[in-house]
Amino acid sequence: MSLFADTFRRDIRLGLRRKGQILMAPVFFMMVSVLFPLAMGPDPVVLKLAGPGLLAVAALLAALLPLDTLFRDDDADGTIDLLLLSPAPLSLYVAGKTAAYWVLTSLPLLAVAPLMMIVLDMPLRMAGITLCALFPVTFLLNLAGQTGAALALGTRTGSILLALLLIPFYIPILIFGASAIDLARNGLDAGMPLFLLWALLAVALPAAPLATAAILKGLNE
Amino acid sequence: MAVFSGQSLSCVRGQTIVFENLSFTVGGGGILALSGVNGAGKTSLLRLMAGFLKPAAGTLLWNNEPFDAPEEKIHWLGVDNALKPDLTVRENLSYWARGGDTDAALAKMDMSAFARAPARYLSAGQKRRAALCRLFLSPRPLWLLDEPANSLDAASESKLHALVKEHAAGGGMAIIATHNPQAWHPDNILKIGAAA
Amino acid sequence: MSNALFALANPARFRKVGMPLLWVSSAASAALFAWGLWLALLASPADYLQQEAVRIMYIHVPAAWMALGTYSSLAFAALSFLIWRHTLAGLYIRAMAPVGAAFTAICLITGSIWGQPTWGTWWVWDARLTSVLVLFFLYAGIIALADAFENRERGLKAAAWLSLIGMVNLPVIKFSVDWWNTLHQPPSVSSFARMVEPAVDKSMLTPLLAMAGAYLFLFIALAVLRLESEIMSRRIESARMRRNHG
Repeated sequence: MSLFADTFRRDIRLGLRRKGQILMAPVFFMMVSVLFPLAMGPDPVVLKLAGPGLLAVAALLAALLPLDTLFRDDDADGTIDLLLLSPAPLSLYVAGKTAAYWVLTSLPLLAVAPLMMIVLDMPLRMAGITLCALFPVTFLLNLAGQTGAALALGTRTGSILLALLLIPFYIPILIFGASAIDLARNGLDAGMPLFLLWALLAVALPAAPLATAAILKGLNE
Repeated sequence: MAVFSGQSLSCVRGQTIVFENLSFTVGGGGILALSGVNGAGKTSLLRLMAGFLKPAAGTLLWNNEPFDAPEEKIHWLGVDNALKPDLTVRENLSYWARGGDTDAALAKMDMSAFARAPARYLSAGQKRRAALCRLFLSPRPLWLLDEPANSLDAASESKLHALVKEHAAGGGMAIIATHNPQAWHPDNILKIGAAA
Repeated sequence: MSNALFALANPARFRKVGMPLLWVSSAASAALFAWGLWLALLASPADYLQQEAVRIMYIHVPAAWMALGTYSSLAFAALSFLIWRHTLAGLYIRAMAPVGAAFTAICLITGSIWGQPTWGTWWVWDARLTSVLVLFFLYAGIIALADAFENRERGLKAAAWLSLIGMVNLPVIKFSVDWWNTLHQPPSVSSFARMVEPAVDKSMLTPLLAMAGAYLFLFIALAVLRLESEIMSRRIESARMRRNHG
């Protein structure tokens, strides 16, 4: 496990030493959330209808934005080569990296989510269920995202290519996440989509790092 | 003592043949220098030994058995230093330590004074020395070094020569890709791509 | 001889089998298209509800089958490329992803044309249409990824991985879209499922199967042709490289 902990600690430390980058994801999330009312008009009825979907889409875009840099440095400076010659499994490194990435980019996003709920005219009593949906949503987005980032490693058109690759995989996450918030807003039972989100997370949590590690190993050959 | 050898190795990238039919043997205590012009395949051969590349033909043997578990046997120093500019030298090193003695490793390449400096403040030669410190974090029998003396000053270079000799004297082996093979006093020099 | 050198030789053997197969399947496809289109457009009855518009089904439904079938073949090729390192399987993904995308596009476009007279709109967010649209995105991703690398082999590998992961994800995507559709059921489309999956009359079944056969042989012919051209372009590239190396 120590490779997981070491990688997690190292990446958090690296992230904290570049403070500007940490703020980028939540600020981007807030800006996208603000763009929608500006585009559609401030009508509370419209915002009420669209709010949950907007939050999910904004979270998706914020997760996509910095993704192409995830493995780029470690690949370019030879870190991944060295890791391939380390006795610990590479998937632990991938998992540690994803966990750190989640803490650095998604956790601040969850922190500002209630603020965005106010902006989008959603009642704050829904904050609990919104976070309960956004937590697995952001984690799933990151898990799918790291696999995509490994696949696109070494291409010239990183970000756009990643969006193209990942959107099919993001669709189920988007659907379940937005529906959970939307059902709750209508006073309906959001148990089904929430259960599906957490079930997907339970599958992806071990599967995605293993697949990503295999890709990193295979592509290097 | 262990013997590491490769028999009639070929390396193909895409549809290009990088090299064909190379063989080598290094025994414990041995130093093998790889020489050849740019693009001859020195780095490819090293990467093949480390298992990053699969040989198109030929086999790697360890004590005459198929070579496996390279992660227990090899210390790797690539062309790149794998240093994070925002971490200090010590932090960089301790990521790879896994219980090894970071301070002792720093002292080997005279980097103790820079332990707390962020790697981005180091000169190119100091960065190379910081990367070389990784070799001393844990004992592994086989060192694969790709142009290890790049950017090193004369004093550091002869220090490194001595350390490699010391590693070999202790029963280890070193395979070094270099443009200056004689400087390492190798037991053998493998010339790659002599035809080119 | 080594594995990789064998793999390079493999395409030559492929050529021997491929050329006759190309001619046979092209001829079969042309014949079946002629017969099937004649049956579909002229010799079969119009539908009681949809009248003449139903005839586009004979183009649309086999395209949908081929869109899914091609994807499964990509995933299978990806598996044999990644596990057994068959070079030809890697080239197959590169060669056939655009063909699969084209079948998917035909399915989407004809579906949309069919929708206009039957539902009164070009596009509805029906679960099937949405799933097919996502399938099209998947194809687009594979095509883009296969071409994005300087190193061709790396592109092949990445595209193979993506095809494989996409295959695992396809049921999840399908399920999510179906579930989403029942959540937001628009009233006008509820009859769609009944339109495509009624007990098909025998007078419609024959042209449908003829067209499906025509598509299948077209697929085989295109596979041979495009694999052949992939092999050729690799050969040209390696010849160029050898010349540059002097």
